[in-house]
Amino acid sequence: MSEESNQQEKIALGEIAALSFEIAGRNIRTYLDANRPSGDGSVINVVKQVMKVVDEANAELRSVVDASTQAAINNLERYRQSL
Amino acid sequence: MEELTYSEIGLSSLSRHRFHRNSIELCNYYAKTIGQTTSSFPTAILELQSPELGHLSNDCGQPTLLWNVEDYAFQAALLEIMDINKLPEDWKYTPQAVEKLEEVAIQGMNLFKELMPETFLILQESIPYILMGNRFGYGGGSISSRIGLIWLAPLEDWSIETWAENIVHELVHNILFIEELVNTIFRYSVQEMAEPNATAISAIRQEKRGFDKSFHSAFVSFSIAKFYLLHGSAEKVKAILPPLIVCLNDLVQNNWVLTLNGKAMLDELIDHTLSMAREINCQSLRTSLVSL
Repeated sequence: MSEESNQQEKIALGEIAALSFEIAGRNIRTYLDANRPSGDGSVINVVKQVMKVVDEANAELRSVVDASTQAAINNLERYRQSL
Repeated sequence: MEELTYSEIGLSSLSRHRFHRNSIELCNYYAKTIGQTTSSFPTAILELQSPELGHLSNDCGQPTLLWNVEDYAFQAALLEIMDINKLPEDWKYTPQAVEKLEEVAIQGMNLFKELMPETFLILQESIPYILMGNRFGYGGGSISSRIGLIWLAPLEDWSIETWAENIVHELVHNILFIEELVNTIFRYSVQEMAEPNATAISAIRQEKRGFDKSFHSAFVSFSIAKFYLLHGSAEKVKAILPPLIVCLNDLVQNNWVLTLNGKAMLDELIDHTLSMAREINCQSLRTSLVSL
């Protein structure tokens, strides 16, 4: 590789790094603005119920889930093959 | 830093390598906006999101378990993660309970470290504090506005495995928050993703939830399945997989909610879940898996 193309590659890599820094900075700024502890429900909250409670409440839903598992596998397989 | 693309969980999006890349971006942002340099993820994220908590007393070590926090700022953070306005009357643990629980908690962390050493390093590098607070019917939680903090509401009957599972669970939420923070996963707001046309069945609660929550549940569920696979508890994995597969199928239907990065993450998760299902050769799924 000639010195000139070496130099050009370094410049290109530098530009990519600068762009990546800029994009990440913009993403982080947007996230921090949208995820302030404002209590307005704009944040992702994943408070977790104890499994015992969930088990009791969703026994019926679980049977529905079990029944749909096979169809779901077939759909997912078709989806991955279509990409 | 080591260049490890895949953790024991097997997903590049939950790898230590990815975490490191995201951590560097956040530290760069911190240097640019705050004007100070740091290479510590906890320092950067806590000062950006939770500056009232003060300087870290524990940096890059094992997360500190904080029981019955008296400090107002920590209590405010705990309330926020618990998603309530006032702490329950019985939120504190007795000294006897703390002693007993902490002993099992440490064994749980050791089990996590033994089975998933690389992922455990992410815990050490990202979570400085685990806040303990009892709330009836709840096991813990995380919130996107308080990255780096985990809330747990342990019960005295939690086994070593349950402790490890719950810590893995909350760590995965935090890793996904960090991914969203730096690279973005979702194209729409939390409110928009809670609209009926964007919901999906959660892999954990097994009920329709906002897309973001079900997306999180799928990654958590897969990670816990991997934990139990490494633990040699195939029965646990067999119970986790069916709702996870149904959840993934639902998420795919609404993948317009995701950025290109989010779609790539979901596709990778689908591939790994189908592989895991083949690997454990679920009796209940045998018929359908033969053709995969």
